[in-house]
Amino acid sequence: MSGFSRIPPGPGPHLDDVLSAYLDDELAPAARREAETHLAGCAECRAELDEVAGARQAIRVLPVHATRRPILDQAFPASTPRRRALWALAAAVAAAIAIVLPREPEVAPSLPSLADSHAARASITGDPLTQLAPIAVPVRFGP
Amino acid sequence: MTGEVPTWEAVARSHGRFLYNVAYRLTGNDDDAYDLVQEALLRVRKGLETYQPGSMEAWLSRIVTNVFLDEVRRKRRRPVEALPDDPERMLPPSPGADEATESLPDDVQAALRRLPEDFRTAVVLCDVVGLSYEEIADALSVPVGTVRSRIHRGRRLLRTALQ
Repeated sequence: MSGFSRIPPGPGPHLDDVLSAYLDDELAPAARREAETHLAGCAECRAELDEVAGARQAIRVLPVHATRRPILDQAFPASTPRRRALWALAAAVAAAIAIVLPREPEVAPSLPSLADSHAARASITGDPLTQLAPIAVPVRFGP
Repeated sequence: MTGEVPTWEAVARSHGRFLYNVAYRLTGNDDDAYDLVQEALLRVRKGLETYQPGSMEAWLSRIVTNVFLDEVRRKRRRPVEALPDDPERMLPPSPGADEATESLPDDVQAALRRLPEDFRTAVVLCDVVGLSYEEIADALSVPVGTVRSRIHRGRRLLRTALQ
């Protein structure tokens, strides 16, 4: 990527944060050469370079952290127009029931519920988001 | 034109794992990461119309980072725990850990979580996401020199914490 055309003057005689830019290949060729010249003659900067390189590496090798909660894949099943219609119906019925029934004790709002309610709102308006709505809502009609 | 813009669902499916990992590294815990991803996805949905085909990961990183920083600012307005004045003093070296040669992921994560948010954000965008300094500056609306400084100071603090 584009680097720095020169090393800006730091607070002291050392490379300081230029060391991180050096590690990240964010220095322009001339600045990189300057940094290397300085490093060759400065044990203090070489030691600091080793330290920040260690920290940098420690983060870069962190494994991808995954969740087992079904936020993205299982919570949002693939949709069909039929499913969309069903969900819109279910949402409307649920809204009607919510008006009639006393509320249960409040529990901490979970994100699936946020996502679902969002999906439900969207689905009523015929929004493509309905694709993401769960369909496992039992709905009964008739007497 | 609309054919080139991915759907929200497609983004969630193709980049959900990526988003969650970034969110976890930013927040340091699963519950907050989960919230963060949900909020980010809602913003993704609103913003897809303005998405310019380009680096999807850079775009998503900017969104998830902004959600994170908004939340940080919101909490700062009602602080639960005072932040230390000098972040350099936050991370005393762990005693007796000098024999450790390689840091365990949990230790690294714990150290990352204890970084001041500005440093943590810059470090995550650089070392977890892999954005360039310019992209990070763009995402955070700060000068590139500030990005460089935050990354470097963040790494130094991490190093101190892991020693």
